[in-house]
Amino acid sequence: MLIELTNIDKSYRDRQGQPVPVLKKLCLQVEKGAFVSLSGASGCGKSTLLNILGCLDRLDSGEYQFDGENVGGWPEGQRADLRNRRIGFVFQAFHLLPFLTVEANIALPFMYNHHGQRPNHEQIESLLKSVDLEGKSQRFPGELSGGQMQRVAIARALVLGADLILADEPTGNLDSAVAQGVLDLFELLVKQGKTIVMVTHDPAISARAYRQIKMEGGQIVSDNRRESVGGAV
Amino acid sequence: MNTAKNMSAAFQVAVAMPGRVILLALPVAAATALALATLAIDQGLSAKAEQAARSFGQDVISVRPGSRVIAGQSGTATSLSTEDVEAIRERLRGYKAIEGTRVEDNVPTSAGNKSGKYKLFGVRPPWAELRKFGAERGEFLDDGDVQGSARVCLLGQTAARELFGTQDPIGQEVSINQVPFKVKGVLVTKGSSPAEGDRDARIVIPVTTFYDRLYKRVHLDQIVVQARNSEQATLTKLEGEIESILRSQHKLTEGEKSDFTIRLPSSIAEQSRGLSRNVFYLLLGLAGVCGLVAVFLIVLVFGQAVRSRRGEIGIRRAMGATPGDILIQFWVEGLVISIIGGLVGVLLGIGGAYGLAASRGLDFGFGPLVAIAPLAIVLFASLAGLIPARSAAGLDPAQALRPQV
Repeated sequence: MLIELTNIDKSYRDRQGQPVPVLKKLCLQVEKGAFVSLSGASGCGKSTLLNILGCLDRLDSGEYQFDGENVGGWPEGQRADLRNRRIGFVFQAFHLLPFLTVEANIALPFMYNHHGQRPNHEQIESLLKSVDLEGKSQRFPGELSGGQMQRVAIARALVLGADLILADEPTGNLDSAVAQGVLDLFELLVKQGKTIVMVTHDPAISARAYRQIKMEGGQIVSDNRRESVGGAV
Repeated sequence: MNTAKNMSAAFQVAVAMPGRVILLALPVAAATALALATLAIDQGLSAKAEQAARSFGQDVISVRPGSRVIAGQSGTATSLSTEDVEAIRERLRGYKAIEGTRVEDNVPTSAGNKSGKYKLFGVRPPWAELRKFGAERGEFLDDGDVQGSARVCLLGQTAARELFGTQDPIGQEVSINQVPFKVKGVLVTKGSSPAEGDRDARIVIPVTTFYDRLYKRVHLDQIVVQARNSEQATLTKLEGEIESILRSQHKLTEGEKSDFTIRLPSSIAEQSRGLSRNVFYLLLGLAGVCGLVAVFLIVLVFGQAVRSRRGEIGIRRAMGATPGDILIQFWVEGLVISIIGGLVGVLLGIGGAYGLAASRGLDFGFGPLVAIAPLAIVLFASLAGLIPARSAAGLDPAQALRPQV
């Protein structure tokens, strides 16, 4: 099991300082190699859940086990290291740094990595080839299409060999043909053993995942699985 | 946390945004340049002023006629007389020597087919010792010259050069205001000062000759009193006594303004600076204001940058940056700007000091104090960068990554 959440509570404070519960006693288990979609109405807690899974936000109570380790209470330095080495993020707004080339954007996680060497140009090119962006390493984000930028973001998420990809509305800014291409790429990554948790509003996008979780009021209200091409996940 | 990598991230951003670097580095550069140039000029002027005071005589008090003395000009006031010199000589205690001199500006002088206008001093022999203005070559005036109103003179270096070129002037004849004089010697080199002008463009003759053969003038143009030592307390005491003697000589009532001006070596030094203390403080204040503007801009623009770069901060945090990494990155960005501004400011400051010194005939010097001001400005500017850097480091990554509405 890669992720095990047990009785997670998370609340935010409103402008009056009153706590507003966002996640309530939520439990979730995600196996390695899963392709999971999280959907639900705005404010149902799916992005908060994604932030907790990515160690970007802390839980109020409950337990978060990542690959067998209780990471919920880890200090920030350790959580940052976990994010760096094992979790990749893909966002709707891509969040590429406009002043860096594609190659420098992809190599960015190495800036915060204390273990590995920065990949050389050939390694970056090979990674770009795997996301269908061969020869674009010296371009700047502004010179790329939305789909290409999202592929750069995916390559950046993969550069340190992350086990878990967390994608928040990854196709939200893309047209449907390009979105399908990104999903094809996700499917390929899952086949290679990566685990993907994706937040989406779009039922058609959600349907591409092998496991569809629906949330409402900070809780999981449905959890459906379908047969994947390579096997049941 | 990897400081080298965070610094490289900061440099990446600085290189990618040259416009912002220039905008923020400019006030740092301006403040640094202004502070450095002002201090360098001041240091040069102070050294020159000290030299001027030393050269005038650090134990010499000067009394000039009139209530206001214009630097380098002898003035037209007639309030000092030989009786004043005698009164001071009789009543003053604790002085070493006293001399009264007559001075005339722009006296036409010629030798052969060469001519010039020089400042003419009518003096007695003790003047050479008192003003440290003796003969470099030849001989100074003696008592016989004074008693006989001899038509002999000593030429300052400028006058000797202009009138005789490479020729030895000693024993030659010059015509001072159409009266022939024999050159007895050449005065020591004194150089120029803002207070006294070119002190080598002078001619010295016996005070009696000045009166008998050139200018039938009763009044004196300067009285110089040499104290027993150069301590400020001694000089101030003598100043008070001289003032009281002369006021009683001139029968001035209480509340009436003195018709003479007493100058101590310290005020001669101040006048020799060529740049008043007020202007110095004004320039230094301006540098301070520039420094404050620099600090304010860095806090303001970086604060704005932190807000507009929330996504960048969020994604860096998502990719494993700790708050400390973000703090260092943003602070180094500010530091890079401060250092660039500081370096440009140092170059501009040195250039400015050099240019100002060349155009105004001032001196400049670089001592430890001159280095401290730019360093302090750069330090303050870089510390100012810590404020927005801290706010960047404190951003909640989940909030930072949320799409901005």
